[in-house]
Amino acid sequence: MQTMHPVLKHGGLFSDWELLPRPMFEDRYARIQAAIAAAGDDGWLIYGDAQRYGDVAYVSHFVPRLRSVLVLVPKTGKPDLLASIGSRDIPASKILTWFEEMRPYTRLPGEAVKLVNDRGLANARIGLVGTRPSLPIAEWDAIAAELPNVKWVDRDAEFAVLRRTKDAPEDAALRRTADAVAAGMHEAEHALRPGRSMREATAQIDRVMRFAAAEDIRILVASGAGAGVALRPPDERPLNDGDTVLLYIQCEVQRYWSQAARTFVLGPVAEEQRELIEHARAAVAAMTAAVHGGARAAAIAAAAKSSLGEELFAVAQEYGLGSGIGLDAHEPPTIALDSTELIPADGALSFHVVLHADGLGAVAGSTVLVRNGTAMTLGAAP
Amino acid sequence: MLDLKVDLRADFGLRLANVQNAMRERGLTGLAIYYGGQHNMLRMDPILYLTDYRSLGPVVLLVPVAGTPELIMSPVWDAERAGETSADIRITAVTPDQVLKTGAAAAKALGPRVALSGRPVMPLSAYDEFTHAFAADLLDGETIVTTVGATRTPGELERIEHAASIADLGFTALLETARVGMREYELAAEVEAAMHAAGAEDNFGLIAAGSHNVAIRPPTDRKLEAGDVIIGEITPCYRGYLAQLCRTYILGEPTDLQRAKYDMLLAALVDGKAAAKPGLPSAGIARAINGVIGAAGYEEYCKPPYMRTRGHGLGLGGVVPYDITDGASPILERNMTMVIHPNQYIPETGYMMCGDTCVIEDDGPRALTQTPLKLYWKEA
Repeated sequence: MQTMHPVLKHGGLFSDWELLPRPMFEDRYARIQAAIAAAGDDGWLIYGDAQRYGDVAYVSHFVPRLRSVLVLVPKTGKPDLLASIGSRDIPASKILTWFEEMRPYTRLPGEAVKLVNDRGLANARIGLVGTRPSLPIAEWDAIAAELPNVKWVDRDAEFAVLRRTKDAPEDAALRRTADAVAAGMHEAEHALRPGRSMREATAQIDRVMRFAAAEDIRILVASGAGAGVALRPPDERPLNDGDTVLLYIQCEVQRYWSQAARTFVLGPVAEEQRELIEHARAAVAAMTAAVHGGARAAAIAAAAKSSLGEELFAVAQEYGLGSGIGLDAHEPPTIALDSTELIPADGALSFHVVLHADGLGAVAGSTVLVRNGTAMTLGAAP
Repeated sequence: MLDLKVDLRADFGLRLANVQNAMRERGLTGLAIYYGGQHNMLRMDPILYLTDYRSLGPVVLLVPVAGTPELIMSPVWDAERAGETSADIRITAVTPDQVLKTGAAAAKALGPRVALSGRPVMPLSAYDEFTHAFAADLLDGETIVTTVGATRTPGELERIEHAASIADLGFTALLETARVGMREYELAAEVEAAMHAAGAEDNFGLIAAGSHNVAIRPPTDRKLEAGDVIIGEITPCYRGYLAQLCRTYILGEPTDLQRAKYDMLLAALVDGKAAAKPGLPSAGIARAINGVIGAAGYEEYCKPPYMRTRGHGLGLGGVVPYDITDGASPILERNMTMVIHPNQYIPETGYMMCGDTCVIEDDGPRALTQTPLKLYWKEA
């Protein structure tokens, strides 16, 4: 689900090398270099920014707290990492990556060109990863103009194949993030109470997840009598007796994302409200049950449609039904009826169902780990 | 929520009129503004400036040289929030994959001379899609909104002042909760929670600690120790507008050396603020600060890699001045807002921070952050 991007990742930023050991990254690095060789390229430039950093984190574990980062992986030899930081920031930034070297930059094009030249790649064939979806055109134009003899090749698809299957240690990272989300949901049971503002309540929820070492937290809410209104970032709206609250949380710990969604009612639950909540939960359960390795993402969406019926499914589709999740909050496959993508045998998925009907609202959502083709919900079921 | 006293409808009307006047002066018939939704303390959000909508993702705003702008936004379910604005805009909500195509089609209707703003944040694929769909020349409209938006309107100032009051609350929370044994990110969480509850929707927050800090940095899992110097750059965002407070807090009684060096930074801040008057170059602020610190024997530490800037424009992006250095030198104007911070690495004590968000008024800067300027400490 689309959420509000912050001005800075302002949670704890460090590396837990027990959770995600360096040999895992060394294995990945070797796989990437093998893919570079298989593609007939001399190296790959991998670009990321604070919003879409998954490709860069996959190879380096580095996450930019703001702005951008560029990694050069040559066909053989060591990588280089250019980060949008000052030279005095290097000691604090180096703890975020297993790479030995890091170069700071103020303006990317000049440093990127220098890097390519320094590595003897001015006449090379270089694959581009993350560039088309994220690199600003002004910066790309400047880089391309200074390197007229480089043959650029788009390698997003090849890199996506490498990222599709989760490494075993990633399970632990996903579980840790899911635990942080679960802690937030648990706190919500106490925080969401009449007489305070939504902002105050979500501050309490946010705090608990930051204490669980969250690097980034995104929260969307809807509230009111029935909560038949759209999700939004928290604001000053008061919570009142009898209100329904739709709570959606995305959280990042050690670069890995998880998400969950639940409906809370601050008082007795009306029958119609209960039914709508059950519809949302049942749809998420139906999607989870439909997961198996090699399943079509469209079949997962069809399971939700079958559970919800035409009318409610049309509402749920406005918010989307979910996607892959991991180093990016949104990864392939997208769960949609028109998707042609397949569910990997080993991966992670986010499911969410937001419903509005007759002035009422409900939400349910969870993160699902897929191992050996079997799905298991991380944290409590919605 | 802040009890806003400014007529926001008139405030947004003024902003739009100024942008449309600037377009007229350039002979433009329309301006297409792209914004990616990746919010940034130092980059102005032109969409928020003109529409009061802080977007979740990519949006395109079409500004005609006269008349009502059209906001092409996504996701559709966020249209309700986008519509809660005092700005006079039309909203067209589309699915994410239709934002650029719809934006380009609407831009075509703006007439023969349309400029594009947003190339510095527009990804390659988005630019290709937009320009392909527009299928005509686009002029350069990059500086129109940032030039008009270099000084703050009354409505903007109100929000920055409120953000500044939240920053003061955040530092109070830091003073109240910091203790030996807690992790840096836990301390940051306490500050964040206090500001969030007080109305902050976001925060450019950096909090670090150590016996000898090299620079400000993000919080890590390091546990606070007795004698730690905690440095904080606390920057809450209230309804899209940011204010920053920089202070230093010691877990233990400061040494005479720490007190003396912090007094030096306070003196530098006084001199820096004295140079921040309308009509004067912003470089004067940096020169005044560097003068005090340089005279104390730290001239080489007033330059990179130890020091980059003595502050920057702040509020809705670092527009003018972008950075307060002794090199760049835009002329200060009334109602510019900025943070002035003689934060400094000192070899004997490590990095220490002090700084306030200020608005430039006729007789000089007025500090919007109110936390008293002193070196803070408590028994560890």
